Amino acid sequence: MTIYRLALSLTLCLFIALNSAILIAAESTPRPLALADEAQQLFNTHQNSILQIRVIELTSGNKASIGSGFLINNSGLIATNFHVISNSVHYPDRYRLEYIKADNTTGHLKIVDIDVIHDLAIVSSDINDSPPLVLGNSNLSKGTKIFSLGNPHDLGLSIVEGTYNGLLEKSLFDKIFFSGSLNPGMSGGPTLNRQGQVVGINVSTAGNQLSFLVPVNYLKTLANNANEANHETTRTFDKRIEQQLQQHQSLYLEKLIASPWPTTQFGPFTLPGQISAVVKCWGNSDDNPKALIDHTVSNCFSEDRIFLSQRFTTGGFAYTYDLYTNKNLSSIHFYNLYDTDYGRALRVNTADKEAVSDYTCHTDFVSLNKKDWKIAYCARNYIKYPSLFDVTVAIAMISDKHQGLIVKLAIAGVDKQTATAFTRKFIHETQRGQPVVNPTEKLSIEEGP
Amino acid sequence: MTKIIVEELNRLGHVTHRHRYDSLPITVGRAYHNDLILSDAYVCPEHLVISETASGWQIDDKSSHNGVKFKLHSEHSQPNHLHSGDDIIIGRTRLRLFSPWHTVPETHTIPVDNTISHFIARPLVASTLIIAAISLLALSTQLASTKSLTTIKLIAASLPAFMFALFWGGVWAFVGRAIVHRANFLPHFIAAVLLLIISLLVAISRDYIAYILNGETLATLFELVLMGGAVAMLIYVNLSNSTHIGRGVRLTVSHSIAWSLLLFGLFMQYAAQPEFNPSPQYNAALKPPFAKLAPSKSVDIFLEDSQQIFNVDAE
Repeated sequence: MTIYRLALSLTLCLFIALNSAILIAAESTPRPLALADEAQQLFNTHQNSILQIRVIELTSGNKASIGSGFLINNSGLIATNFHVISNSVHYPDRYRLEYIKADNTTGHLKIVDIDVIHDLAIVSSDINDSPPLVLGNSNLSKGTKIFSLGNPHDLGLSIVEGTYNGLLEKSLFDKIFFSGSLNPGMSGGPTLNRQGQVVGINVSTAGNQLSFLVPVNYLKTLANNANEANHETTRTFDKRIEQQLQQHQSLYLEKLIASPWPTTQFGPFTLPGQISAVVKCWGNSDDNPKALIDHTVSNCFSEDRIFLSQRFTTGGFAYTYDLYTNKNLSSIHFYNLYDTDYGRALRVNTADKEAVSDYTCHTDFVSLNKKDWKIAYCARNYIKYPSLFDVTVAIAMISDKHQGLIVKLAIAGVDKQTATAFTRKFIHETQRGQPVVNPTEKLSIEEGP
Repeated sequence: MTKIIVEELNRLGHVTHRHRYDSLPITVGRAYHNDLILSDAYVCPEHLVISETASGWQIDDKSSHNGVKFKLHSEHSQPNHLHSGDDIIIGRTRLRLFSPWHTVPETHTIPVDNTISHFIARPLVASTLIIAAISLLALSTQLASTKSLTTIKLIAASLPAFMFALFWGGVWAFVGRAIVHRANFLPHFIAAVLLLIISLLVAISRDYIAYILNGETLATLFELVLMGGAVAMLIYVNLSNSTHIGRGVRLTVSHSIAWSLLLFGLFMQYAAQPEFNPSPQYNAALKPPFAKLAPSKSVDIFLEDSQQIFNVDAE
């Protein structure tokens, strides 16, 4: 969260700068109402192209969740977020989709195509009397005023002004950092530039004017595919989701496997450092003089998650290092304290029993660089996407009486080849992390006769 | 001089009344003029007569309503012609006839198989075991703590287990007081302390076995067998000191209780397992270098062996 705080303060600075710029501009040019008019105009022009999407639970006949969407062509194709309609994708017999326009006309929706990686979906409708929005592009310069439309908390269609703040750099997936307030219900709505072109799709918020948009380019790609797909009426999306996840995960992980990894100094060990721009690393150490052992921690994790359902997310990976140093305990006592955390496997995603199997593990002693390690390697399978797994690895050094190192690694939603290749690389990189020889080692002094 | 002894038995076969008669015949029935008066509604006022013959007793049914049945124990006996030890069943009453010279079984010796109890109740052994238990409890508390603890804290940590041993010994002493008129608190208490020591040692060795063999199955088996034996030992000692039950029965009872308790525990543990576990379960013990007896594998062989975790079982 610290990074958000940092981002927040940056945004605040930016806002102050922008506000003062506007104030100066207002003094020199007499157009104080121009911006307000702009939003008003955009709203009036485009309100009929934006609609509320309702997920209707069939048994109760009531809406289970709501979101927003917008028309992208004349034949009634509508863009929204995958997470808005995910219930209907996973349980087509329990939910159906409905739209309601600003003029209160309603109708049914059919899912055409989805992109779970970028949280996008295209649905088809019978609307042919409203103009579609024009898809622009998202290469704006920082500080550009943009306008987000949607239906927050089912309060009615509304427009929010905000600022484009570039693409998130430390993210697995491109996301626009939008300084404006997005609220639940606005998901899937468009964000427009001054010309009324779509630059992004509302997707998520971290509160306090920190919001995120999906760049419109991904929607363009999906829309082209959807035109080719020719509005297939019924199909199960499990295969499509599996394929998208697998493709995405193996692509970025293979790139990571192929690239050289920077190292970091962790106590006396040299270990993989920040191996990708998308991971964030944090460190800490216990500083209690009364403690019998010293403990130093380093955690690296990617914050990106791919939404699949309310209780099932995937994507991302994490790795942690725990260094334990024995002050002057017996080895039995030291190892008794050292192994407390070894059984707590690292996990990076949430899933329930409908989504995944239980973990299966394999543990053994492994020799690395003349040292002995104990490795536990565990995997659980995705029930609907059988080629994908969550894996978690726990590696512990067991050949030193005075020092212990536990390396944990977890990856969500990978196929077994990529998982094993990544694990192999990680173990080998850990192998390189042999303790640095202490230069002030005792020398045997030869005494004269 | 007594000629016949008639025992009334209840349905469990226990004697409720015993009557002796100096002359025969005797009349049996519900009416008050009989020699043996039975208050059984299914017996006639004048039910039968027992008379003497040259080689035994003759039973004459006085044309009773519900008749007479026999349960013969002597091979010379026939219905109506009984010998010492035979049973007559009339109505809901069972009568057993004995001659005064009927041989009685050998005298039972009171079991004095208290070798374990005697041994552990010796002052030296008892005090050694108590000190050993306190030290072990203190040691395991210290081993699990990240700070060094004071002696008082360590001893205090071992008190709950001792309270259990005291309570256990107290309950059995109470039982012993009621049954064998001796409390015998010390052997009961020390046996519980011994169980404490054994379970601590078993828990530690179990961890090492699981670590060395890198598997839970044998370690769990080891733990089960030893703990079952130890609990059976405890109950055996308790029964020896608090009851007059014979050795065979004691062994059977103590082992049955111990193993049923363990099986029950295992079953409860199995039943309490969640249907879905979001965390992986693996043998997470780490032990000092001296315990690493199994050979290490290379990374490639390890990863190859690990491929089994990706085998998706068709459920």
